[in-house]
Amino acid sequence: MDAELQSRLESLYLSNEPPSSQDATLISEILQDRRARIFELEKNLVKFRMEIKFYESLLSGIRKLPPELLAEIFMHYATSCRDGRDFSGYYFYPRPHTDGPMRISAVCRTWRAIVFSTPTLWNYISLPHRTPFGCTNYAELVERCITNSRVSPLYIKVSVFGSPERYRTAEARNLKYSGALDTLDKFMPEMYRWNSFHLDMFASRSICTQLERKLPSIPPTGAPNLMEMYFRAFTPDRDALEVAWALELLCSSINLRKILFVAPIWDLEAAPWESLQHFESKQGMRLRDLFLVLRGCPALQYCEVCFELEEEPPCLPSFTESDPVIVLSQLHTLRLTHLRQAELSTVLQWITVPTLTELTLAGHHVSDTWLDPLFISFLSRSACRLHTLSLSQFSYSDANIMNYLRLPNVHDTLETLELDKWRTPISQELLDFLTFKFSEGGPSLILPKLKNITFTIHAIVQAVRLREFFLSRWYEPERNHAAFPVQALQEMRALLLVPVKDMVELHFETCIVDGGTDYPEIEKLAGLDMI
Amino acid sequence: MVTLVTSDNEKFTADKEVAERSVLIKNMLEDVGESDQPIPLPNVSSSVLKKVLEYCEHHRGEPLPAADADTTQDDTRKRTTDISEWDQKFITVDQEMLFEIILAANYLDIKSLLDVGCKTVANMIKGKTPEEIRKLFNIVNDFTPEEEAQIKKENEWAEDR
Repeated sequence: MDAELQSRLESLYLSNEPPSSQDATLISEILQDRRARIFELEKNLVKFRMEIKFYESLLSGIRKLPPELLAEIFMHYATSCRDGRDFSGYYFYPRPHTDGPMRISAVCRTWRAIVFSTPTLWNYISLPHRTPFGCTNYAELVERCITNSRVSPLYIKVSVFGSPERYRTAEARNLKYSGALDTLDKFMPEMYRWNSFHLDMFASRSICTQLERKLPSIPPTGAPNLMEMYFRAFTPDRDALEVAWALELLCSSINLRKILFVAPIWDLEAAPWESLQHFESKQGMRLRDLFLVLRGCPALQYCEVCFELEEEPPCLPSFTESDPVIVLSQLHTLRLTHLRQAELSTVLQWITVPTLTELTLAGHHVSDTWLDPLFISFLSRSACRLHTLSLSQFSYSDANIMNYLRLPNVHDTLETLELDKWRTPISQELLDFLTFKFSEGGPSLILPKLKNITFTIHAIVQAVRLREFFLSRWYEPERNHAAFPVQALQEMRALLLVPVKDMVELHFETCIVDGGTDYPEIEKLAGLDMI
Repeated sequence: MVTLVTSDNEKFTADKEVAERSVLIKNMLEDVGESDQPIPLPNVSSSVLKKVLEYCEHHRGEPLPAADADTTQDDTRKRTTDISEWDQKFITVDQEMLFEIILAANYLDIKSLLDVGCKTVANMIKGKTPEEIRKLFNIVNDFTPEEEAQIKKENEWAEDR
């Protein structure tokens, strides 16, 4: 465009006058030219952007990673997808749409090849059954996991949970359970690969009896590589086929390290688990069977057993005078609940646990006589150093407790103490100890490492004593200005038992407030020494 | 002190204790015995080695993983996804550096650093769709339409609920 034309068009532009027809033609030509040029530039821009993407992709850092490092990343990815859900059978994994190997196999061919050739991406499978179609829904996934995991150890969870409203008929429920057992069948040929097995039937009655169905037979070698087993049936039926099946699997799998059994355990013939470290039986077992475990599992570190079978008389192990006491040299936690007197007596007499740090004993009939000499003898013989002591549902006296707390292997190391004292009056000495109330001569007993203290008292009979504590400590600051005598103390929990027969839910909450109140009667109460 | 020479010929000196967090360097030092000879690291550039040494210096004195820890047949259950606060800050770098650190950690055999790098990438992948992952790492979708259809079919499994 020459300078004269440029100048003429600029003047025209500023005048708001229309161009002559000759100029209009010229302007249209110019516009056409500019539009064509912009189109060309935009085309080039797109082309260059695509080229940048192309070259960036060629230089992309992730291309440099060899397959073994990508596999390592995928393993971490799979772990992070499952993180925190290890013991929840509710969780479905691998969920193709949102996580797990299928998701990342859809990125590119290289990734897909790595995902399919990494068996340990496929060996963890958790299948909660909620509808009658569980087995069908999961069939292809199960097959894929079994195939792609090749010979690597399997971590399996098969569970049955509550159904959506539309599947709550008896027929639908039976189909759901049947489907879960069908899924289990598919894993049976791979039993030699089971490393962790979790079967949760979540039913109050025997499933196999309802379905008139047997479970798959277990080979004599059991699951030779099984390290962890969790089984929950809920049914109290001792003849339930699924419970018998689970027990057979337990007893034939000799390399178990961890057992968590939420179903009754009856008539163990042996406890062949030399490497067992963790044993939990939460739906009742016989003491005789527990002693088989204690004798047969020298590596045991954690033992939690409930004795709520209600069998009369209790089935006890047989001992003669010459039998040696069983020494459990690795056990650090022992929790026994629903103990009856004869069972408690046998436990306290026949085991010694030098490594014990946590002891929980809960009785069954509070009317049973508390076995004070045997308890003292057990603690002295074991010479253990307790960090946690919990005694409940026993008729021990306050003097018994104060004696135990003065034993060196309790006094010097105890961090957590739980007591229930709601059936019988609580003595002033014990209450003072539990609530750190000072008498004139100062506290009679201080446990230097105590962190947590929990005590259960009767809301009506004993709560007045608790009020004394609050009054004396917090409403007379000038008299009770001293700090708590235990530096480590972190938590005090007072549980109030309320004798209510009606089905009314009661909730009490505490709230810590700073400063006084507008209730003059409280100020008056504070002046009283005894209420 | 140990002298390390990078691929771009830069020399770094580091305490033996720090350098020996690399199993490769530890083995090399054991093989050559007492010597002032610099150790060549032809697969590591100076900018990456600087970061690696920063990591090793911070973790100086911490126990090293057992020699056979990585060779157990299946450590699926032992993995965790936690990354300490310092490590998270340390590994907040651009993608290029992140992958270079992973490669260097693998070459130098520094298991804990390799874990931090791999976990970081794993966390970047987590929760993303395949398309989002491609975009994030500049990965080309090289599936044929038939393969795409097959993948779609595979993912049609229904959750039981």
